[in-house]
Amino acid sequence: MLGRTAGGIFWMFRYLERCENMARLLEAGHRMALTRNTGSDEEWRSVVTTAGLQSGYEGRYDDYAAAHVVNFLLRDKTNPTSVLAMLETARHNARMTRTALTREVWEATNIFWMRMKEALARPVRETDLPGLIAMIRQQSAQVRGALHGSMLRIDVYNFARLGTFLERADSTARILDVKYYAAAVLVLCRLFARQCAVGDNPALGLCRACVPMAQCRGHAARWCGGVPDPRRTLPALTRFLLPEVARQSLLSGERLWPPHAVARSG
Amino acid sequence: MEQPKPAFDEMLRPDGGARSAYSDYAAWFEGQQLAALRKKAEEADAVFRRTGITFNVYGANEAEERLIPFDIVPRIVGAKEWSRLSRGIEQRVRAINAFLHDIYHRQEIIRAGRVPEELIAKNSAFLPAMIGFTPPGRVYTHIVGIDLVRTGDDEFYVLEDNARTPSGVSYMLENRETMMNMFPELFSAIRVREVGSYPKNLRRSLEACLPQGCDGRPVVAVLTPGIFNSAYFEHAFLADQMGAELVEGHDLRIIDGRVAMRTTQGFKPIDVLYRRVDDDFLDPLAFRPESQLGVPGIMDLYRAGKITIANAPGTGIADDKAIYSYMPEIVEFYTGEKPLLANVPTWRCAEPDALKYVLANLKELVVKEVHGSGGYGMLVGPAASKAELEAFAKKLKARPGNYIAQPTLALSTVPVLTKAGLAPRHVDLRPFVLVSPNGIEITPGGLTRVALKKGSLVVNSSQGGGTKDSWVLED
Repeated sequence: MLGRTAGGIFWMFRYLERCENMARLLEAGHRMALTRNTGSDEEWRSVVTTAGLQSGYEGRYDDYAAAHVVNFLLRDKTNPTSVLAMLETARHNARMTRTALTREVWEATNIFWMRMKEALARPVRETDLPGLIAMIRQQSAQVRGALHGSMLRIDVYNFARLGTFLERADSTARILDVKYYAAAVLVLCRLFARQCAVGDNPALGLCRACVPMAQCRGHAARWCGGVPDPRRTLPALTRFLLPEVARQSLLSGERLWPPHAVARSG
Repeated sequence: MEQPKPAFDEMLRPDGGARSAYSDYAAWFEGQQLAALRKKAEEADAVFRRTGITFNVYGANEAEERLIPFDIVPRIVGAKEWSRLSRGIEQRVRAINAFLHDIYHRQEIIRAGRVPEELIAKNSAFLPAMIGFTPPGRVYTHIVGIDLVRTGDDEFYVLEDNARTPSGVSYMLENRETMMNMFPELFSAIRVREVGSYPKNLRRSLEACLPQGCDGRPVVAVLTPGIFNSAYFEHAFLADQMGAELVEGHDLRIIDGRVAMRTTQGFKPIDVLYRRVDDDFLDPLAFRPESQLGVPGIMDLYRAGKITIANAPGTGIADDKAIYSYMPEIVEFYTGEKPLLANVPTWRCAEPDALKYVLANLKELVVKEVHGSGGYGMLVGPAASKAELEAFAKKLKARPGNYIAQPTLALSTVPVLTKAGLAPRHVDLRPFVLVSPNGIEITPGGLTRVALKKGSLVVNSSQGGGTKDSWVLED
């Protein structure tokens, strides 16, 4: 494989992962904004901060109105890490490395971009937000599924997974870094809930990833059921999750990661 | 635009009956619902979008990717017509390769006075770097696209030879793929010659031109200018289908006297490079010094026999529009036979009498720039406004040697599917030819380009043309 191809694949999957994380962050922000009695601006500010886009955002808007934040994160042309811009970059990388991808992976990526381009052609209204987020999640899953189902387990695949996991580690670290604990907990729970779901089916051969995640779901259920105390749960969560995420990144995923090692580390 | 005489309709006779090549298709078409066919056409568009079969438009604002419109009515050529055509194509391609070898060696054709010397010496497509060098396998044009137009039952003309880096073959393949998916019943009822083995044949043909020192299976790579090139899809498609690496200039470097690509496992030497980069940009040390698209020093290695470049640099001298008018002489000179395929009558504006005639009859003529391509810098007299004609006449007088003129041919028509049903539109045909030391191989069919605007004669995709699947029937 060409060095350029390896780089292209890595960035393609980093950007795809970041798109999905951005959607989950928006989802969490929206939910919190809806469930607060006081003004929701603080919630939205924390979302922008978590995304690491505070200076860019404040250069453009004076307030943290929902409509501004949502449109800035999803489709603003001045924001190079809007969901739409990142998808464009991911697709650009996919086109560049077209010969390393299967038709399925390329088409899933291309369709993702086409759908989002259409859906984000006009400013997003609050009513559209849940549907859009669902769409981003679903389209991300399509690309992931195509990757799992159609790609040979060769270097191309490993670089793809490396991009995904590094990005996941990066965004997890960001979330933990933000002082707004409640947001962090909620987003993390959502971020990892999908892995629990995958892990429920050991036949998929993904059971290796599910051991810590199943425990995470246990934690999540406990926190979400009652009133979470961020000061108590966050350090535990950090201790528990961060090393796993980092390890996933460094070992480039499941292949090198025997289940018993995971079980022990839990 | 009014046609002086009705154009030849390839599907229907003047009495309304289908011509023999179309008889089976016409019978099938009778049984179809227009609405259902329209829906199929929309589906085809969606498939092309999803697959990313798009082209980039130069100069467009947002580097927008566009779709080449695809029409679902096939262009059908009978077995007999095709075998006649392919004999003519083979003869022409053979002559082109012999001409190239001659022009870069002894230049017999100039000594014989058949082609004027200044036409070659002053031509920017002539590469002095190729003088005295013979490419591996003595093949200059590994891939050729011959543009043909039809004006009558048995009247075909060669409009242009594309001997540099002809494009469009991916559309030929994807169009067929799409048609087989949409209308499988047509392909079980009508025996159409297949085109799908083109990538395999291309690879085999390129491998047969391996450089001398190469033992074992040659490593083939496709060199693309990159993702923003208008034909990028095709470059990626062909590399993918051939199982070759798709490389850009900055992936390549010269290591131990070989052109090598940077891979995750170190540098790997390349034996045969199918380049889709123009001569000028191929080697900044030999040609344009500012080029970032090529490989510094590749020409030295090429001349030392360390790598095969396909097509060979310098082949442009054979398809230059100024040379075109000499093709009948060229074919006869090298094959000793009368040309089987006719040239379109051409006025060389460099000649004073010809220029006078062209200026007087500008409104009836098509005038082309000799180094231009793809319908840019071209005047279609009958479609031009008075102001455009006057402006062009000025350009002509200023640099007559830069132009050739041809009569406006009544290009044949093939029906396209419109909202109201079938309607005739003008077409041309670009068959693709592979040349290797083992022989010349012509893919049955090729790319049919169709002018989608009623009456228009410009079929270029950059100017609103579309494509059709092209069928050659089995004997």
